[in-house]
Amino acid sequence: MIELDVRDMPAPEPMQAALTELFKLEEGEIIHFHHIMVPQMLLPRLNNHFFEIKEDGDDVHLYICHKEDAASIETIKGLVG
Amino acid sequence: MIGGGLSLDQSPPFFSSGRFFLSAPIFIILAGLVLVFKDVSLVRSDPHIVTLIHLFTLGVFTMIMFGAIQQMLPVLAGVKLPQANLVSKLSHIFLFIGTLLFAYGFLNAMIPVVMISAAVFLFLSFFLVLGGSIYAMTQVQKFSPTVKAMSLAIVFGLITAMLGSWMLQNYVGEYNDIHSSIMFIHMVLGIFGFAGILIIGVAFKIIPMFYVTPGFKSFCKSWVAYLIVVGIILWAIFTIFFPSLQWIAILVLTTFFTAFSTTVILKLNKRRRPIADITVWFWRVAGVSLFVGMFVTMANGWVEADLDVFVAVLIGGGFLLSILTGMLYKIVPFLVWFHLNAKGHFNIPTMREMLDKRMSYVQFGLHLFALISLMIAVFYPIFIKIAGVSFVFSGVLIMLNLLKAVRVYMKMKDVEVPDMMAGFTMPEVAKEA
Repeated sequence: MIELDVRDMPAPEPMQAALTELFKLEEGEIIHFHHIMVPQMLLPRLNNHFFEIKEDGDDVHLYICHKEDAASIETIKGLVG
Repeated sequence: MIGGGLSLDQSPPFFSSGRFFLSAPIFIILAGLVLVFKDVSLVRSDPHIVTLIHLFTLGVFTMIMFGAIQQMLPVLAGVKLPQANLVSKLSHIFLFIGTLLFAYGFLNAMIPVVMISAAVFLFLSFFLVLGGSIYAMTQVQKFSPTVKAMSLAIVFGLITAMLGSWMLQNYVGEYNDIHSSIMFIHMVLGIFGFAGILIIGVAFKIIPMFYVTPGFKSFCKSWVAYLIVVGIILWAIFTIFFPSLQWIAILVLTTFFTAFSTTVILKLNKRRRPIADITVWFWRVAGVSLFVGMFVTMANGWVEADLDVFVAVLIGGGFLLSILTGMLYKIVPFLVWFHLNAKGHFNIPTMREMLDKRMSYVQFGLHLFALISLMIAVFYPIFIKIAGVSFVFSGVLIMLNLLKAVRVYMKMKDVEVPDMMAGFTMPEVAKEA
């Protein structure tokens, strides 16, 4: 799991950080993007990925993996319940 | 939980909101020119003052808020206006022309055809953006406090526009007794209901997002907008039926707006990355102006002296103009960065690099000087002209600085990006002209 806590980053650094990690993301890896809001502007960039969002009060957890990565998709589904 | 089926092409093109942001400084300049070249006296009934107020409220505040609504709906609510590009173009041109006609009409003895045309253009503009926003809101999956506040503000904006249009045609026809009560309600709804609630709602998100502050408390986010609505409705009812009780409504609004302004100042003092940023100073000035302005509003009903000018300058200029100017310095560079990044560019100047820091500090000084001059002008009318000159230069500097950021976008937008970035572009943005 690649932990990416961007809660202390001003816009647009969270998006920049997420895209940098997405660029390096490999099969079998999951990005856990932890933010203070649903990153609506990032979502359109995830066309080639699978993602799920879980909201917990003011915290938002976005889990991302490759679209074809069945094992990671199962893990993410388990994480968000 | 939100699954992968969420609508993915949400972002409007750069100039959908950009055209609104870039037009606002033009009206600051025009307002300054009215102060310099017209014989303005600081009383509410002076047509020059009515012109001046609306060059700011329509040409600057509404212009920026319409741009912000179109940009924020996708970011904060996950929805966008139907026919977003067309609505943006039409509403912008209608607002621009409507505001110019309004100013021309009031500066020229209210020529009937001009006033009616202004009413039609302005109402159409409000209807397109706010009516479209209401439609878009029906698609929202989750109503966060920010989205709830935006919805309330949009409803108040539409009512403000309807009352304003009615008053414009009323100026042409027979002047009605109820006109002054309607004017007062129009003013309260526009300033506190439309602009005030919209700014508060958006602040819940953008202050933590841009300034890395602690989030707003749940109570604040859940209730402040509703309590302000109660204050506004009370104010409207008391104004028409029980004028002697107006102070109760003002007290309610004062309580919650001052609580908000204090909270904003405290949050900004708790930034986790306290780097120098002119927009923080705009927010601070806005917080202090709102705080003082609300108390002056209360005092206005109790003292013999007429404090209208101080109320208008503190709340209209110190609060609204400060916040909205500060937001221009954040939103425009952010949009440039975002749209270039969405096209696949990674080597983009930072938001700070896109603007001239010194120019923004000089503009901030001119902005403050203009507002202080207007208040001094109550005692020394020559300061009206000085305020006007300050507004003109202030507007020119904002425009030049924003154009500096836009030049970055124009220079880079058509530059080829490496093939390896293709998978990370946004289809909608990548094909923008």
